[in-house]
Amino acid sequence: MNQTAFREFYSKTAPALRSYISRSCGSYDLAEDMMQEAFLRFLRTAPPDMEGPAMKGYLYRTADTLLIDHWRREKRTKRWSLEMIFQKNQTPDRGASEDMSEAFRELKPQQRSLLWLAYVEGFDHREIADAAGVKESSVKVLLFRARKALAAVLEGK
Amino acid sequence: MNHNTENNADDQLVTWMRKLSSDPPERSHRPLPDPDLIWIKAQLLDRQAAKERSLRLVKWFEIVARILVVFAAYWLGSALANAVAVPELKFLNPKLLSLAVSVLLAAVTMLAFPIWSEE
Repeated sequence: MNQTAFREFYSKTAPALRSYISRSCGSYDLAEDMMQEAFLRFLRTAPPDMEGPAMKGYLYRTADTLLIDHWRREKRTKRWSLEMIFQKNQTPDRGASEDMSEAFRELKPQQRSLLWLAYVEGFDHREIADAAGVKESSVKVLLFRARKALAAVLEGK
Repeated sequence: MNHNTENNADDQLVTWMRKLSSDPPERSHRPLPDPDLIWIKAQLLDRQAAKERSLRLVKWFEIVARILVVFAAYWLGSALANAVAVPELKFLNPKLLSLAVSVLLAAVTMLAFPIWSEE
């Protein structure tokens, strides 16, 4: 991939990816850092013969890995920090957008990425399977479960 | 839940997901980071990784060279000890003398090697 092609790919994918990461991790600044890291890893590790949806899928998979690493790190550091105690007293400004993000964050990471790829990126089952690293035959079932989980979360709100 | 109700619920979820992606969180109007900077950073990291890969071989050679130097120094030390077999110094153990010379030579080489390699 040359620089011009990357610029084009970036302008097409970056806004949705940033939105996906910020909805998943709940921090806009962190999402921006993670997005840049995802693109950086994509440039350095993606197979050169990739194209179209496969590139997007690879990018989302990289972002998911970064998100999982972030949650693990956060879990470790929060376990013994005072942040956990003080967090209970925080009352952040909540808008509809934040409520939506919160509902989205209550899903499992895999469910989030499956729903996003299917309904925001418009991937078909094969593309989702490639991006999420699951079998094509199980995408339908996993998507059904993800939809059910989201419905349950929204009903609870 | 019948089939129609299920489809209706699915449609609602789809609409919700679309809204989630189009309803931007706070500050999303901020411009995206410059892609050229990410590109340059990736190039620099690749170059650095390539350099490290090529230096790995040099480092292995360095280790092997140091081991060879120790053996060569020991051999040279024993040869010197035999050559400088002065009768007045007979009280000195030749093995100890060769060991001392080899340690001295090895130490000098070890100290000098990083300076050479940096240059």
